[in-house]
Amino acid sequence: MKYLSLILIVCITSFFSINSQAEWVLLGHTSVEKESLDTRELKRLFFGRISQWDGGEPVKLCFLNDSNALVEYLGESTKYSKKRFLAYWNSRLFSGGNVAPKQFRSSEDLLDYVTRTRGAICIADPKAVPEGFSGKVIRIK
Amino acid sequence: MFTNFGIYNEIHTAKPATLSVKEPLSTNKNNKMGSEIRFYPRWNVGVAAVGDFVWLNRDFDYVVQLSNGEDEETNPFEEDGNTSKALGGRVRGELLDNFHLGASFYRDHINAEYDDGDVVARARIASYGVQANWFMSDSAHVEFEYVAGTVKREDTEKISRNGFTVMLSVELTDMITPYLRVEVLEPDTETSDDEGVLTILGVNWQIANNAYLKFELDDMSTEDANAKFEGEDFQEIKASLSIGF
Repeated sequence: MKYLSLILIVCITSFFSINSQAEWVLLGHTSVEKESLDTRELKRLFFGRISQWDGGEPVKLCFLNDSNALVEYLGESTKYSKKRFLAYWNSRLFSGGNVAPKQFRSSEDLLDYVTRTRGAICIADPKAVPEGFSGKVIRIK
Repeated sequence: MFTNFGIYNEIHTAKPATLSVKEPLSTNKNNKMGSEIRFYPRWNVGVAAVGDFVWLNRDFDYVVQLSNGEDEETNPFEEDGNTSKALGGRVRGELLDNFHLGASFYRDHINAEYDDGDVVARARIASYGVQANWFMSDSAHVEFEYVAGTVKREDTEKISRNGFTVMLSVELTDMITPYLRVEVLEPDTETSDDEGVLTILGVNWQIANNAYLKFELDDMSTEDANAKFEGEDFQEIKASLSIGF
């Protein structure tokens, strides 16, 4: 039974591959000094490895819960599904590692948060960003 | 504080953070699968240094813990029954974006047996572990944990033991994640017929944000000299509801 199960695990592992497509935008509060981030920096931010900006301001993460923006960011730059990403943050939260990203149900609430909260950086749906957005759109290098 | 060892022993009370109903017995609660003493205690009292660092452009974190250690009779959280201290630690690193590796150790010198309140035997425990997480795709994940170590009581021969667990999970949809886990424990490498094997087939069903229903079929198979089950094989169905708030 043990060896049969191990063989089954090895066989199933060979059938999976990655798929990805980008449809997301990175928004920041005007206090965020960065104009652009590379994908590695962004991953370190969104996985809680960087908790402070260079000036000492705490990083405050957020994303839109009901859009595909986070899923597409994760699919493009990491091997995490949204479920796995949330489980990762649950683990960090329960082991005292960090404060989990804030989740919003609507783009209006997210935009309001990111424009009013110092240090905020959020993954959002690009279609929801209005003309004359008073926060910052951060470029991905 | 939790003894930081391996994958699970810092989140095992946080069931929404784990896929399965319970953490693996063979590497976390080996006394429930045939060992006399666990590889490491679940909790301890002491001090810890924790931190993270970047090396070769890769993220690592570490913890080193000095604690009162375990005791077989007195409550080690109220009274330290011996002067020996336990030392443990763990380092984890993201070697590749989709492959994370870690290593842990735990060493202690405990009062293993009492008679009328007097210590009649002490024991040295040393345990070492490695862990790996491999994210094969955005839906398939393999985790692996291996622990080996020794127990040396003053009045008996040294016991060498080891255990491992390997789990494959696949997210079929955003809500449904089935998993297959195999756990193997060798309580004493010098005893040929005491091995225990636990095979688990389960499904994790996310019914709402931070709410999970879990169903499992567990198959426990042990050899005749296994101290816990003595070759009595059995299956059990487990279910749990985990809600995080």
